[in-house]
Amino acid sequence: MGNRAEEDYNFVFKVVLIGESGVGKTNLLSRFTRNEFSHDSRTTIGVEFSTRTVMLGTAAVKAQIWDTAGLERYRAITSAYYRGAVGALLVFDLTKHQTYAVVERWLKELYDHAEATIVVMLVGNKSDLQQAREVPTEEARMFAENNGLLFLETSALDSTNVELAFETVLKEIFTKVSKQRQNSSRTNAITLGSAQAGQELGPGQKRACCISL
Amino acid sequence: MALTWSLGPGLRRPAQSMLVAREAPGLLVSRSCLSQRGDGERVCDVEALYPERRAPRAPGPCLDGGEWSPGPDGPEPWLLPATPPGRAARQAGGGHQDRYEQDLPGQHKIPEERRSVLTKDPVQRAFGLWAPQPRCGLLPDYYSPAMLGLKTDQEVLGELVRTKLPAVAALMDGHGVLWTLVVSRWFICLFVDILPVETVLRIWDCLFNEGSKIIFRVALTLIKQHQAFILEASSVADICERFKEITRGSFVTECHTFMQKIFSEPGSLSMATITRLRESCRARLLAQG
Repeated sequence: MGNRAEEDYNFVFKVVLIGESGVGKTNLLSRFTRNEFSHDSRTTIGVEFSTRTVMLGTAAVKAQIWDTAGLERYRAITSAYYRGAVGALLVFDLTKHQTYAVVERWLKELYDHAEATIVVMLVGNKSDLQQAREVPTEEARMFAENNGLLFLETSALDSTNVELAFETVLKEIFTKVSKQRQNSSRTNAITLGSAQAGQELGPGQKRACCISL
Repeated sequence: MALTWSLGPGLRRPAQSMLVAREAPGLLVSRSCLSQRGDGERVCDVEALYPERRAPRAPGPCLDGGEWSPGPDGPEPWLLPATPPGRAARQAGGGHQDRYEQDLPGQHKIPEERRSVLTKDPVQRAFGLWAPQPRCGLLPDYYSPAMLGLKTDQEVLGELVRTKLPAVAALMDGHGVLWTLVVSRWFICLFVDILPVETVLRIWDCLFNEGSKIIFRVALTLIKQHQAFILEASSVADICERFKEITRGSFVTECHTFMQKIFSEPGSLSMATITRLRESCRARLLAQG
C-alpha cells in the first residue's frame, strides 16, 4: 500500500458506508477497492478506511470511503465520521428483513450528522442468495424513490453491481458539484477560485480535503 | 510458585508475565488481596483489587446475547467472560493452556448461533471479561453507550503524544487525523487481535496489576518505537496503514523485551498526570456535546 497519495486526482469525495452489523459493508468496500472478498470477515470495530481513484470523464476522483461498524455499541464513535461526507451507501441484507426494517432509523441518523445535500444510495446486498431473499426488490425500490435515494442490489461475493453502485454515487456527487460550480460562477464570476464548490485539488497535491456540497 | 489471577469464583488464569509474578507479590500483599493456597499457589484476587466489581447482577440477558441463570453455588454471573481467553489464545495459535475452560461452569448459556459470532469478534472476548467495567474503577466508561471514557482516553493519548512525541502530534494535526481513527481498536479491544496473544496476556497482567495507565504505556511505546516510520506518511490513508503496520513484527512478538520497553520508553507517566489529563479532556468533550 502506501503511496496512493502520489496519484494525481482532481477531487476527493468522502463517502460513508452505513447499515446494520453483518450486512456486508466491509466486503463491499474490499470488493470495490481491492477486488477481495472474505468469507470469514470479522466485525468492524470503530471505523476503517480505504480509497480508490476512479475516472469520471476527464476528472480523476478519489473516493475516500469510510467503513463504519454497524453494531449499536459503537454508535458513539462512528457518527463522528459522517461529518463532511458527500455520499453514503446505506446497506441492508436482502436476506434479513430486520436489516431493512431499520433503514429509516439509519437515514435519520445520517441526516442528523451529515449535510442535507448528501447523496444517498440504498443498497440491498447479498443478491447472490436469491433463495433466501426476504426483502422484495420492488419494496426497497419504492422506499428509495419515496425518500429520494438511489437504489441498487449488489453482491459483494460475486461482484454484481458493486462497481456500479459506487460509481453511480460518485457520478451523482460529481454532477452536483459541477452544477454548483456553474451556478456559483454565474452569480459570482469575479471571485472564481479553486475554493468554490468545495476544493479542486491540483494534480499531485498531497493534502486530502473533502468536497462539501 | 505460580501467580494466578482470580477473576471470581472458579475463574482463574495464571499470570503470564514473569515481570508481574516477580514484582507483584509485595505490592499485592500490601493490598491484602494475595492469598496462598494449600498447594502453594499464590492467588491474586482481582475482585479484591477492584471491589467495585462486587455489584450483584440480576439474572437476565447479557451483553453477548447469552442468558445468565446463576445456580445456588454457581459463580456470580457477571464474572464470566463470553469466550474464555484460554480458548481464544488457542484459536489464535498461542498454544497457551490454562484452566479457563474446565473451570467454566455450565450456567452461562450462549445460544449456538451466537457462538460463531463470539469467536470471531475480538471485542466480545475483551468485552465479555470487562463487561462489568462501568462499575469498575479499571476502565471507567469504556463500554457504555456514550463511550465517554474511551473518547476521553483517546484524547488523553493525543495529549501525551503532543508532550512526548511532538512530531507525531504535528503530523496528525496536519492531516486532520482524529486519534480515534487509529487507536480506538487498540483501546476497545485492549490489544486483543491487535498484538500477538502472548504479548496481550502480559499486557493484561500489568493492566490488572497497575491499572489503566498501562494502555497508554503500550500505545506510547508502539508509537515512539516507530516514530520515524510514522513520520514518513504522506496522507490520511498512509497514516492509518502505518499505525496498523506498527502492531506487527518482531518488536511486539518478543514480548518479554516489549514489556520491559513499555516501562522505559515512554518515560515517566504518573497517575496524577493521567487523572489531570482525563479531567480536562473529559470536560472538553462534554463541552463539545
